[in-house]
Amino acid sequence: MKRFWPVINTSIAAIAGFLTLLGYFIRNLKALKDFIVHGAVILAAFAILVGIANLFMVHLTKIRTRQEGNIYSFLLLTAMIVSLGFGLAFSMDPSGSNPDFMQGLFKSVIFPVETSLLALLAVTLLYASVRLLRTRTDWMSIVFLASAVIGLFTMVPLPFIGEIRILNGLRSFLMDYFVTAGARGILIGISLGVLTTGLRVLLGADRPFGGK
Amino acid sequence: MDLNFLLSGMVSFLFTMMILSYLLGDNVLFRIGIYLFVGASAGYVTTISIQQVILPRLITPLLNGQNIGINIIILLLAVLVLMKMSQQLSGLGTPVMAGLAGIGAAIAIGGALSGTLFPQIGAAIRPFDLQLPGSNLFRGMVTLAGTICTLVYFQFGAKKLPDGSTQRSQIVEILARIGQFFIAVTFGMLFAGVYATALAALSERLDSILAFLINQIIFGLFF
Repeated sequence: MKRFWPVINTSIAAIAGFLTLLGYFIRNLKALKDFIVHGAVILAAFAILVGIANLFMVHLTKIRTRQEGNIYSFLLLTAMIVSLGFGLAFSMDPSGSNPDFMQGLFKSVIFPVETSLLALLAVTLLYASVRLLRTRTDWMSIVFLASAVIGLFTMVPLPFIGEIRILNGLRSFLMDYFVTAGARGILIGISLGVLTTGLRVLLGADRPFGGK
Repeated sequence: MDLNFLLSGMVSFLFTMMILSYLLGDNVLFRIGIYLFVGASAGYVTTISIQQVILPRLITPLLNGQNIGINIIILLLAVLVLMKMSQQLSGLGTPVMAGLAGIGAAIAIGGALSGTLFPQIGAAIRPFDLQLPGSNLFRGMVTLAGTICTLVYFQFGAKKLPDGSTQRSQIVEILARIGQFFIAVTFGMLFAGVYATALAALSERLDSILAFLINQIIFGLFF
């Protein structure tokens, strides 16, 4: 039995995957692919619930066993229960879903925190580029920072100076020849990586669902 | 003054201050903000999943008697997925998770092929078609060479030398060096874009803090 289930699981992954993949290339199988994806979306929503339940249990255990930092776990669970409770209560409104609470939650908590984290990135990136110059002064770092400076100075007209023609010309040249080629190479590399990883899952070489 | 608006502004202001306090180093306020954010986001995602996927795509059609057979099968599979929550029964959910992994891999492959690989290869070829308007043979050759060199940079196959060290072949090494230059310029421009976005976010947050302080606190208290 120990050998039986991994084989079954891998076969299920391969069959479901190949049927979906064929739907991309064979027109007659498109309806089947759409049906499989429709079911997968619903099951993925349930998988999200499992993930959230796991997060809940991990932090509940932290509180129950009085581990270090359990006060933060308490705050996390409180925020989760409040947002979930109010969100569900309002969505069960017989007049239709009441989006006010969810919109309020998004506008007053999620959006400010995400934007603030992005704002922190401005300081972190500046610090990282200064560190890069101090710790690694090779030609690659210099080309990288020079390109970044050209990109930044030509993004918008500068105060008092306006546009710098030479820099704008240089930026266009870099974008047309170097950035297009570099970005294309990186994108093709990423998609080849995705292709390989996906095929490894379909052929059973990788089993992210568990089993040896 | 609208109470909801004031409350929303105050919460937003507090969260912004908590997160930006990280500029002074890792501190209690930042951690409180992050943990509350994770909790609220988890609740938000759960609500959206239930509200936008589970109810309209599964429960409502079941209650209305639409495609009962198929929906009951999906419901049974969903129950198996939920078994993953239990340590004793989690094995029952693994076949469904395997199916999901396979479907996810297939969608990723389809997306990579039709969304990136084919269009990018097409775009690399297009400048060589001199009948197309705006085609430029020289630019096409440079970008094609740059693309190939960039890809060669990520080729890490190497020969093992007698002293135990490894070395790529001479031609691969030269092409990789050229590719490194293209990558450095590309990442520099990407860095500039990300930095500009981060600066825009910083200015938006500072603007919102000032607007809240001036409009809600100063004008609210004195006028």
